[in-house]
Amino acid sequence: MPKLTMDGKEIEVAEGTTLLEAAKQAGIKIPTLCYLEGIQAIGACRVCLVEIEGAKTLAASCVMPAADKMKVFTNTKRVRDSRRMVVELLLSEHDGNCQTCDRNNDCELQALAHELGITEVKYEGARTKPGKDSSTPALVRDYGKCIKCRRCVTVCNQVQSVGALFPQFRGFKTEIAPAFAKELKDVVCVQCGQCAAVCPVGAISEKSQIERVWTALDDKSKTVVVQTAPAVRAALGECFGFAPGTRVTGKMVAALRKLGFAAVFDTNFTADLTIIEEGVELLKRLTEAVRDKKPTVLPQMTSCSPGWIKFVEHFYPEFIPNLSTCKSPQQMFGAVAKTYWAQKIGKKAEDIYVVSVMPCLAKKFEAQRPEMNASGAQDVDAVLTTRELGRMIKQAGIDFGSLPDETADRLLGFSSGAADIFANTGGVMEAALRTVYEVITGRELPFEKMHVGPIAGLEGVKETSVKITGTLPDYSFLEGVTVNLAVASGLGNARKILERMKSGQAAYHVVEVMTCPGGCIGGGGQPRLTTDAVRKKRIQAIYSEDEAKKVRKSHDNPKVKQIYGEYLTTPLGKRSHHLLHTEYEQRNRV
Amino acid sequence: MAKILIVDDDSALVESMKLLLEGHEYKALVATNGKAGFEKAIKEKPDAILLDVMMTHDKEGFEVSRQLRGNDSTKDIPIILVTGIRKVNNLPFSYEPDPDWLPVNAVLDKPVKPENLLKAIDTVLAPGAKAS
Repeated sequence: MPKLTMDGKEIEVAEGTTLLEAAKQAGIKIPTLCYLEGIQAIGACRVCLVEIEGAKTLAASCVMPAADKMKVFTNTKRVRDSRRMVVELLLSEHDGNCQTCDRNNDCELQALAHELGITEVKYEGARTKPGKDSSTPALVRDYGKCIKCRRCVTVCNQVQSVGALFPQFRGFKTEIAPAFAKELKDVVCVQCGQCAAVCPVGAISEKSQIERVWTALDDKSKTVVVQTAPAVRAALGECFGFAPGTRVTGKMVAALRKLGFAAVFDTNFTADLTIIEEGVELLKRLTEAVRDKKPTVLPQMTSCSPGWIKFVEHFYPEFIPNLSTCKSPQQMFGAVAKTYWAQKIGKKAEDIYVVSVMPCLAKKFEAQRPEMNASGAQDVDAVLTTRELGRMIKQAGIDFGSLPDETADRLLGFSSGAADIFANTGGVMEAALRTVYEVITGRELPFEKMHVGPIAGLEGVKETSVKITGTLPDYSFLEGVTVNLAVASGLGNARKILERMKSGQAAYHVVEVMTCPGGCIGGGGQPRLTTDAVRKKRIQAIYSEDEAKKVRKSHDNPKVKQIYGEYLTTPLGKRSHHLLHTEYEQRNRV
Repeated sequence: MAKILIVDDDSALVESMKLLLEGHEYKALVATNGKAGFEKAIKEKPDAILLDVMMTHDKEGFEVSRQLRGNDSTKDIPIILVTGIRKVNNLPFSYEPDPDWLPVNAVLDKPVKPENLLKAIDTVLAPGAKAS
């Protein structure tokens, strides 16, 4: 184990530890820019330079391994001047304008320049070629602002295994762009927005729909309602200085009312509805496979995450029949708000304007899929990210921190704890198990607090099995059957599961995939920067939200019972099929 | 002798419930659809109503329960929903009384054990029991 000194402090670290990691262990802060903990350490930006006694040049600490007897200095004049020069050179190329930039006050380059005491950009010279790519529904690339840190490239290729972005051309002419510097719409991109989640500057971000929503709120002919995804409540507070993992559900509802929404509903309600439909769909597939011995497509795969759906449509169309036909909770909400709820208040679908607040960018893509108009109008009219909602609240001059806690409007706003956990990787599976296990056995899911430990947490691929015993008479054919489950978050991990299945190495009954690492709590539209430490805190906040609920199973939600009793009649029935289910399409692979 | 109105279109089930009730010193009245049931409830003022859901249409019992609650002469009569809707509609849940849309006192899923039916009737007829 190497023993070294860092700023005079003696430390001992494990073999292979980088100087940056060693500094962290020693409580010494080294600034970084291109570095992404656990994902990327490539020494590209040179901001993390340190001085090593006896070495001719400074070293990038993110890639320099600690060695025995090394004497490292992180705060010499040479180090400070060099870091400053590196950032000044980046600023000299950066086609930025902080005052009007989307990332103003939320920009790592801006913060670093401030931290390093840069008050002017001394170097004049060529600037990065400006220009925008707004060709897709969810993302805007402002490539003049790109600092070539390659975080987006690594996330798109290595974490998500999508491969939409690469460095194009060479030297100063390098552009981080789709192949042949095409527009994003011309290549395979699932619109997950993980690139936007890790971009340190304003080079890639969500396509904002804030103005569209303000216009709708000012239109007196429209009844404008809002739904919020479960993950938003565990992260929105970060836009207002609350620590990651602070639950702000009540303040969020109060803020939405202040913004002028006619009704504040909750995507959680349709998450519960999803469990009813998806659970019954699973029971149907299991009945056909086990009791009727019919050829049945298994595993059933979850369909809540639109980036994952697009991923399957592009890369693995042979698995389309495995996808649950259930729409995502966002789209189910739009469809029932513009039919069931519209009827209740004596309005037509076109009179209602549905706004979603999502932790996700792919939801912007999903909302404009041409088939998402079961109500007769586009079911979801506008999709805001958590970050965009934060901006709207600030634009309205609302003091978020001092808001009282309010509750969502009841009819499409009441939800169980099972709906909350849709935000976490493993959560949709757990929510489904809480219902399906109880339907089959008449007993509650036998895990402490009903949390299925083996499929919780940040590990990319999780597998477990549940043996069914003590079945009710209607499901006696499942007695003794072991149900195999797999959960993946991050599309690279989803790919691993699919490849294992294709090669016959694994066979499952149910597979849950969430596009973003950690699930929706780590979505592309969440406040930046989402590290694993932040993910863990948000995950815990969501479990606390669930545990605090009186109703913790989707099938116990009284408002779900009401919508079936008053309107839908039966899961997978004619009306449910029309409003709550969908079809998928094979898409080009390149 | 307490009067119980049975509203159900399944004649065999009606007959067995009638026998059960009469064997336990209740007077049983019968209607075979929601409209007839509502009219009979106004006319006869039963002490409790056993109400099926799926009769001439799928949601009939739900609607009749709201109709009964909305009428001054029937609004306080306890209603027990006796329904096979869970199984027929493949629902992963049983309905429950809900003041927002299902103003009944209890819901029993068919097939109902005789002792459970009698217990539910006893409960809604108990002194102090109130209509939902």
